[in-house]
Amino acid sequence: MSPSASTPSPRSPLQSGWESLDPTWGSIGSLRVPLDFGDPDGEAARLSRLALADLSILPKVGVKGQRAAQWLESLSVNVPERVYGCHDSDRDGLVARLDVGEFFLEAPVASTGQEKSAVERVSTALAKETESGVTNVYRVERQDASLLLCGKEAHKVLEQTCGYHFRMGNQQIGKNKEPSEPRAKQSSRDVVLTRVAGVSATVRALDLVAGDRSRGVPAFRVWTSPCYGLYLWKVISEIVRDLGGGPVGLRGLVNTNGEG
Amino acid sequence: MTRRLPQQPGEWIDRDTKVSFRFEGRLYEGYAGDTISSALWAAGVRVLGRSFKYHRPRGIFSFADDDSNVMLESGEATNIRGDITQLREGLELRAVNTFGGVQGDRLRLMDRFGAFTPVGFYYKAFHSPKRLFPFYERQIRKIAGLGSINPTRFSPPSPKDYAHVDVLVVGSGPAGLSAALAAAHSGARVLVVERLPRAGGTLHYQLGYDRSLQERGAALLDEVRSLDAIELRTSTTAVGHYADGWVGLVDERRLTKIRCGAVVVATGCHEQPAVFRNNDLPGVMLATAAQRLLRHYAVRPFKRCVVFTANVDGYRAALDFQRAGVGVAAVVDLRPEGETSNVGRALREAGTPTLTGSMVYVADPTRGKRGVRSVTVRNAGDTGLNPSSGERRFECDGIAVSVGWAPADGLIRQVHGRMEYLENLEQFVPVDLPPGVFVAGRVNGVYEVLSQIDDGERAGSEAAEYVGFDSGTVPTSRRSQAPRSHPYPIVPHPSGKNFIDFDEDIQLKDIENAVAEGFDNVELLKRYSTFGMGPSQGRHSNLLSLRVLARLRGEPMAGKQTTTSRPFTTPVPLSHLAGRIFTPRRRTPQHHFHEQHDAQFTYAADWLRPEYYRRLGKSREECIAAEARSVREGVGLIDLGTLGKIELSGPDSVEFLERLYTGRFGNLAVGRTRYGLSCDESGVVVDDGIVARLADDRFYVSATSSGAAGAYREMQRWAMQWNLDVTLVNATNQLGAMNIAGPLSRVVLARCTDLNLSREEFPFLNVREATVAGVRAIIVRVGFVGELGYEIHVPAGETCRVWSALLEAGADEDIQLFGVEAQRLLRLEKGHLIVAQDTDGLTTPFEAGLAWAVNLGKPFFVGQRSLEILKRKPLTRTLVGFTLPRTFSDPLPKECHLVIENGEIGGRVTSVAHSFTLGHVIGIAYVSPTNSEPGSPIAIRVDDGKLVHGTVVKTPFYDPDNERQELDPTTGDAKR
Repeated sequence: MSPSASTPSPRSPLQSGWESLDPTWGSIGSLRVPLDFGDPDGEAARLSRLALADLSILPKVGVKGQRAAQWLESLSVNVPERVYGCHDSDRDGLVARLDVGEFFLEAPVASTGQEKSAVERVSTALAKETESGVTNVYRVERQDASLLLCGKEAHKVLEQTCGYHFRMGNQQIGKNKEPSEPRAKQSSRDVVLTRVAGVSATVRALDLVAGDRSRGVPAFRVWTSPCYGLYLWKVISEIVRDLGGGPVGLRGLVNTNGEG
Repeated sequence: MTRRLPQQPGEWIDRDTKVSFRFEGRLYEGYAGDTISSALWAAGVRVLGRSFKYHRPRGIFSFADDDSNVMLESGEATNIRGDITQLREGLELRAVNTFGGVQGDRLRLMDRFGAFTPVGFYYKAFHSPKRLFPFYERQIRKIAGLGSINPTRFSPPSPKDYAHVDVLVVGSGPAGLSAALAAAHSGARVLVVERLPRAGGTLHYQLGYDRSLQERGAALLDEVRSLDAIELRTSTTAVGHYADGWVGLVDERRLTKIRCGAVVVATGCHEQPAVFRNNDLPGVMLATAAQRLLRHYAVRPFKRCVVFTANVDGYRAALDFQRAGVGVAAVVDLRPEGETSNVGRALREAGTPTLTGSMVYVADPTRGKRGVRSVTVRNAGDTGLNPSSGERRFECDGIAVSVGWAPADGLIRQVHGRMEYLENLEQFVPVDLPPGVFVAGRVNGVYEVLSQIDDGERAGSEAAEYVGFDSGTVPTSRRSQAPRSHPYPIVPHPSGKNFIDFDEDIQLKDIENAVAEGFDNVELLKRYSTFGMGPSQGRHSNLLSLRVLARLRGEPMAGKQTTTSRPFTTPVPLSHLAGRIFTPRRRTPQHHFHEQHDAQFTYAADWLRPEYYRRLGKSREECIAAEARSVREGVGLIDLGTLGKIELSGPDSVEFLERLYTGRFGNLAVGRTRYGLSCDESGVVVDDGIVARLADDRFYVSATSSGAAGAYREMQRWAMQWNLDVTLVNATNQLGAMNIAGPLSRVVLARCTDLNLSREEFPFLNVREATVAGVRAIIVRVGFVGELGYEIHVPAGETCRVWSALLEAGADEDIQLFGVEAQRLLRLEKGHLIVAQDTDGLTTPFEAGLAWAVNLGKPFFVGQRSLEILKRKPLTRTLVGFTLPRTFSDPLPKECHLVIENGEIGGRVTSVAHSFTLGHVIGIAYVSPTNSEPGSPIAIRVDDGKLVHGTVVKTPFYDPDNERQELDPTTGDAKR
């Protein structure tokens, strides 16, 4: 199933979680997004301490099939070699390998001009593949709710909701290992398929690089099924609030256009 | 503050900050840093609680959460442990389990009836007559219990954390601190947890004023605090130890689930009581309790005491008391040889009477048993047990007891570490530890402080090695060689009240009687006598009971095991366990719309679905009937987002479907759909749905809302097992869906799509990929509700747009929303089953009337072999439709009401509803095959036991020829 290229901006599965906060609307390209929730300066400060943002509006697509890796490479997509490996770039956005033959792509947060992102190139090519009947590479609908959790307190939110230890990367605690191994395998570029607040989620730890004021701030991207999105938003919002943080719009994260 | 001492070196209280609080209505004052018990004891309060069964006065005993003497409640919380709970300004406290207050507790009379309430009394007295048991239970609960819960109290959510560390060290005494340093120096990240407010353990209070040891302890603490690799958490208790290095930590605010590479258990020992008559009086306390009162809180435990001991620790305690100005009337040593070390010599040289080979026979009570008036001492006798002659009496107001130790080994035994009793130490020590668990210090049978430091270094190094860090040469250490525990510190007395378990008021004779009655296995003995079942979890009574049991059986302690240790080692507030309430609920993309349109939600698995939409002034039934009517007569729209939606692609897709489902799919044309029924290997129906062929190698499959996850999981399993080239995508959560149904549905949908919807181009049971409201969609012509209808599946993010477009397009036709209850009614009229409602965990297709969907002629499908066998056997039940008379006006039978045939259970109702279309009650039920013919009577037993009589009929109840699928909306005629 291919989305129509001409469709208007879709609705975030989290929108009813934050629209009561009276957002100031703006746009990223053709996408209508909340720029802030009435306190742009306060929200900018939150980014470095503890902030929660909804990035669900970013276009996403999945690809699955035995030939998926080669097929993506033929579209000039930089494919991670390892399962759970992850690449991201300003042009192509995020490319994560979820299995040997399964990939998840998300358009970049920041607008970078006229070049098509990997999501656009792949979506177009998948539609052609479907029409032509070429087999072994298939579209996976990805309408995930997508959160950004950032700030130096962000890890505390995940400590309350998730059993995975992001600060130790892939270390398998409790196994007897070579002395230097515990820290050696850490990779901040991996995605982790885990559970957050009781629901399946994909999480990636990163340093937030968008927005100069927050450069280098620890951050986590959390993707979950859209049906669990509102639940997760509410749970995480409550914890973020208790830890002194709050929701932010996208003004401090991306190049946006206001609606006045 | 009559008992507060001048400032003590290293005391834990802040004398500049006074704290006021009330206990039993009276105002008291303590200092910041005090516990509730220390502040009360400092204020001269001796009776801090009442015992569980006999309501005897109780005071400080272990002062370490090893007894439940001081259990308090405030208006907010109950079962507050006074010994370990920090004092806070404004607390208003009272003791739990009293009638009329702790001083004048009216149930103190129970103490006089002890002879009539021996162990097992409840079991024997209250089991008959049975009808009176609820009365007995209520009375027993009233007079014997802990605090009462305030049901109006709201506990704010407790944040439950996960944490991770290389090495967890439990306990911050000399061994724990040393272990932490060794592990950290090896490169490990270490967390040290200490249940008390300050780290250091016995270094603070049990050094007998040895300056060099104090300095060594202080240096250890300073180094631990200086290292970034070590985190030190005080007031934190390790309450449970689980497989794979998981440990539960509890502090005042939260439960932390920590995953550790290795665990060093340096939890020390619980000092053990001695058993003698009136050993529970306020003023009788463990020597370590008295020492902590002195050193931590600068509180005089007694004015003048007798020290009852069997080891060097008692002598050290006596020295501590004397130096703090507490009189020591005598040291009573159970050992014939007494204490021969320098410590013993120092005490004797100080002129303290020391009675070796002696024992405390009775603690003589003051009036009302509110304290100790004197102590009667006798010779221990040749056996060391039988009180004999030589009675002496010492005037005093307290007894400090130090006769032995029991390892705090709960965290070891919870992960199946094996403890063994060493007779040379008279103590259990670990002999077989699971991987990743290490022990150090007293719990390992190491008592001297310098040896404990060595032992900690060994354990910390081994733990770091285990996690993967190079520790260099691992140092060695050795256990103490002399026993610190007396093998039998238990003094019989003909009048009893020599308690073994203080929580449950269990006396020596209770254990003896239980053993005499045949409960001579420690686990049985525990359950019969209830020792170790109170809040203290047997930290004092387990070992004592085992000693009594061994002696009564004439067996040595070696080879004995204590009862099973399970989490938690100490009571944990339920609010901590609950944490934040994570109850995931799935919402469809239209959820917000439903809320705005006054939907009454219901659960379908973990989905929230509109049950129906409320209408002003209408009852639930009227709303549902109106929704159903709109579908039958006009057009309705329902959210189907909860349906399972699975995409299958690949060259082996057909082969896969042929093996998975009971029907044939190889001959399914592109653009067509077919009913798919799946069974498990035993031929039981597990799920159903529609299989739609989108292309030669591409299918779209639906599954039930509650069965989607299981269906997808099974598909993945079979795909791997069969090694077929098929790609599966579970799109359930990524796609929204809706069904527009009713005679006018085609008219409305046509306004939103350029797809040709004519019956020639898009006939019943066909599928198309098209655009609806500008959104790419899969459209399936289905008839689940028995009317012309279209299922529309679209990406979740676009669903609301399509939904709104359809509603707008149908405004002129008065399109109505309908919920899951109207859908259930409509499908029932059509006779369609719902798997898991009309089937159960044993239903075969033959019983459910689904034989038509089974093609046994295929080479293979899951469950085929079982179905071939089942087909040859006679049915034991079959699903039929039934109706009730039009005159029936009583409450409807319910799903699961029994069908009665000849006085026996013949089946059960699975679905039932009043059909406004047909004008009577219809339903589906399992009946015996002999009663399944149309026209057969059916009797259903309803809630009040009456039988409701109906008639078996053929299904579908409505539109049996499917004429409604092509109804002309303008004339109401079927198009043929």
